[in-house]
Amino acid sequence: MEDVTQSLLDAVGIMFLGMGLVYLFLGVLILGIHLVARWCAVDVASARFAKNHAKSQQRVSQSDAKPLDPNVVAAISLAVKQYRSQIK
Amino acid sequence: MEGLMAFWAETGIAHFTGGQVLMMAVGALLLYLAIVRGFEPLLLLPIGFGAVLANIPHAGFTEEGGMLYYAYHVGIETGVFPLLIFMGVGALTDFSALIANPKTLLLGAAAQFGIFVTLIGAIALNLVPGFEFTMKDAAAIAIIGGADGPTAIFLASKLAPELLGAIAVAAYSYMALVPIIQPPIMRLLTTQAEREIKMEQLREVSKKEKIIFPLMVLGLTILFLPAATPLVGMFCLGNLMRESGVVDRLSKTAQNELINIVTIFLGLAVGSKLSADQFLRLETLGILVLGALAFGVGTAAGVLMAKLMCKLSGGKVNPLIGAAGVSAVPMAARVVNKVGLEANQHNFLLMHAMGPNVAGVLGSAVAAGILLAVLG
Repeated sequence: MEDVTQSLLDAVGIMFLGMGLVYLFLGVLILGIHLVARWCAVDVASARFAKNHAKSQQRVSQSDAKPLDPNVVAAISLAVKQYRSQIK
Repeated sequence: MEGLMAFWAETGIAHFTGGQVLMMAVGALLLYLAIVRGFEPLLLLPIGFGAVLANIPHAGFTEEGGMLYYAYHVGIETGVFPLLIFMGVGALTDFSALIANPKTLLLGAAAQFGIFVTLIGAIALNLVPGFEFTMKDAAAIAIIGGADGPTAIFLASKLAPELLGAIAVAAYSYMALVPIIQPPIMRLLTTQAEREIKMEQLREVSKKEKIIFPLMVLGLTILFLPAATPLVGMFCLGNLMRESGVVDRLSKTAQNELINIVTIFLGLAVGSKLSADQFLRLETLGILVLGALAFGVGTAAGVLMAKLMCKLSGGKVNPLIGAAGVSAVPMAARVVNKVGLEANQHNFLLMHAMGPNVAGVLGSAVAAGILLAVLG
């Protein structure tokens, strides 16, 4: 009987130790996941910024590289003028 | 006439003992549950057949030189089979839901309470005449509450090999019974309003996070709990193979062919432990009762922890997902989804329950490591 009581006390001790360690271990893991998530979020944000930046740069350079053709501008202006005079 | 007598002496009928016939009936029952009822057929079918083979008189399957003897000796005594299965489980597991909502790890931790309460229960059973569980036996029985077959077999093979058959049968039977055991406990501990709570959609998880996760788990295990590294290490290896995306062939093999082959031999080897002298004892009855207690307490602890998280978060957590913390992937998560749908037809909790569900796998592996470190 005494043996069983002693074993029961031991088992209760193992329970507290075990649950404490399980919580501690998984608690540290939660912190770890949060840290990695924050690091990856910065990473993702900077990658997104770099991508957007590159895109807008590309757009600007595209418009710089191909200025509007004066003939096309003249043709469109003429067409608009004709259209307006027709309406009048 | 002498020839006939010699033949008779070699037949099974002449040598059957009552215990063997009874154990064959147990094997047949397991086959029935697997084939007709669909209870964990992948494991219960080979275990049931193994039980039949192990009890054939004069066949020598389980004696030295017999096939089942070697399957047990090579695969289970050494702990290799459960570890290979764990690698496959790692390769099959997607941790996205857990990484997106890491707080669910607390639910996986809470559900391990079932293991430690059962440890006390097993020792308390010694007060009943006829039971004599040592602390190691009690720990091996308690791990049934982890609801994780490979973990239970691994720990039982290290701490109480003579109880392995009963423990494995109890673990897999109760895992199959999760849809029957869990819902009443879940309904008892939650209100209708709590069951109807809808949870926010989970964020997207980057590939980098998924690759770092198994490495981080392994790192923590190395630092804090080296006794759990066999289980956690193999699990993380499988998961890293899956998430790294560079070894698809290995990942697929671990998920399919390897896990299937090992399952066949693991089942047979466990079945070989279902011999009359080892199984037909009062202890087996005790193990079955304690296993049910372990599942019940684990489920209740998970739900209560989820209720606490619900209160603290201002009603953002549905307490039902706590029940998935007992592991038993993915059955427990599906049960949560089903009970959630009963309360609210538009409430799909499956993905939210997968977080605590895979957390439960980690939790039970950690609990097994702690028991090994303290008692092994």
